[in-house]
Amino acid sequence: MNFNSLTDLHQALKNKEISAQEVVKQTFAEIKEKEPKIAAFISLNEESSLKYAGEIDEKGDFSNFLTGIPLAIKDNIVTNGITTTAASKILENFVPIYDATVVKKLKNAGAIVTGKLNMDEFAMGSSTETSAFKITKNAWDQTKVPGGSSGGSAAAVASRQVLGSLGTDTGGSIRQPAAFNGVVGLKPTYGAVSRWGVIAFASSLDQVGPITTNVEDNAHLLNVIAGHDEKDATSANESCFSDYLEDLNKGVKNLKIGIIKDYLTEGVMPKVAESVKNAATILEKAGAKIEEVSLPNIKYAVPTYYIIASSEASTNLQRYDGIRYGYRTPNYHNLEELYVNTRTEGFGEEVKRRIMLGTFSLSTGFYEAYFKKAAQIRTLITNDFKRVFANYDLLIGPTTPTPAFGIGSKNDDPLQMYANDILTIPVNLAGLPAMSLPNGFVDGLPIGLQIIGKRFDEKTIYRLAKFYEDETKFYQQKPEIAR
Amino acid sequence: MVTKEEVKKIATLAKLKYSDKELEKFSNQFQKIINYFDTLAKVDTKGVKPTYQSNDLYNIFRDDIPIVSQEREALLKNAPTVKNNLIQVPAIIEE
Repeated sequence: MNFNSLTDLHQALKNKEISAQEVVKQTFAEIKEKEPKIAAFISLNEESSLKYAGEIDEKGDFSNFLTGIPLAIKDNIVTNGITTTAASKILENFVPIYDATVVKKLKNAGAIVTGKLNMDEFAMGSSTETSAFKITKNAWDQTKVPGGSSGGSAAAVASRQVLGSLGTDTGGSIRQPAAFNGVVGLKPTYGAVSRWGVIAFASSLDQVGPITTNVEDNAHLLNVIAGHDEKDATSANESCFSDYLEDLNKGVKNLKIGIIKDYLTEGVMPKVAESVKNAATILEKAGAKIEEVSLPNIKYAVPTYYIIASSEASTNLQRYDGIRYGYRTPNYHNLEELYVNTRTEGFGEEVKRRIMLGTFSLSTGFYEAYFKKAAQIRTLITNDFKRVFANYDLLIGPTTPTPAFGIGSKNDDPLQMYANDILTIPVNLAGLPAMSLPNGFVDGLPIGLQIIGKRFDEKTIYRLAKFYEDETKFYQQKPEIAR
Repeated sequence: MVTKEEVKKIATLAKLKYSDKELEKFSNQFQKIINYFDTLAKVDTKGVKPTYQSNDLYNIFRDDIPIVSQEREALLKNAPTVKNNLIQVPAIIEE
């Protein structure tokens, strides 16, 4: 694609330098060229995209930011008439009959849904390797994982197949792949974006968010998808929302920023920790006030998260029983066998492991020691954040302990894979918004700066991010495949 | 210690099945993860209220008005087998 951002593309469409149909044709040409190397998409929606683009050109009104702009959607977000699998065999042939609220909002804003993006099965994973269908590659190095679970969403944007996508983030699934692919990914505050039509993994943690090549584009997309939705009972009240572009160019002068000490030590690569300290120096020079802060209970975040997320998943995934939709085993003699064989054949190894962990944590005799204990520690972690946010506007740290790891390198040890989420999980437990922003390179691979905000204060995250992006210009560096 | 028998019991609750061969590897991994979970036991949580969700919303009500959410025909399109415009399932009552 000749465009580097949604903002550029919007300008070109608005000035009639290019038509929506030309944009869509170019997009699918790019996808066809790059997909053999990246494998980010599970399905493509070429025919209706072209048709829709034609209709848009006929109307000729490009005043809306997203009109005529091709985007792609993670495959756990339902799309009317387009197969939605959550990268699971159990939903391989599932064709939704309605649009998720976020998809409806994008379409109403004129965006074109080009296809559905690969992910870890039911978003359970940190590498996109648990997908039942394909292994997505990192845009910067095709021997490395793209991260997960929104690996397709990040790799598709980083390789410039599309310039914006939606992912979901339950324990870091937007931020970690954004960091691994050198793009901008935001997990909004819990309740800021509707979960209606999002295939549930862990309902108290799941949020949909945008992935883009730069900060301004990201704020534009959040402006479209955020807002109250009566169909989602956990959706926040209208009073919680504002224009996310409003403070974009205010700079960082006088912002009080905490640098999370606990995020720079255990298991974090020294070069990664160094990059955060460099960021702090840049921000301090520009007039921000930077101090070290500590969140003592986040060291318990990984087991706490895996108990809570697995427990919620085990109940959410009970619905896949082979009766009303999805895969049904051909091997059964009675109803019980139909249930058990459908689930055993339909779910992949990691999904089954999580269902088992959750069922265990919730079962009689273990509930108090596991699920309830984890829910109490979640309170302690949330209180840690509340305490520091009484004195600071934003917190910063790395997004991940290391850059992208090799495909296949962590498959045999679930605990090692889980530990990789240590720096992203705490935010989900506390329901806070956080972004991963490109923060340079370690050993030739991109890494991310994580910016954490107060609840519903995405605006201030964007403010810092925009300043830092302008200052460092990391976002201008593109992987070989996108040059 | 979670025994293989206990793992089997949990699988039954979850409506999943592991073959004897799979059970060997799985139980071992499962045990390791549970051991990791057990590190939380040392955290003092006496009197701490559990958090089940992170926003402060409480009991969202709406009026009880019936609406057509989806048409039957569209809903049945995704059913594995349909007979007489109904979803077909195995008999649950013995003959």
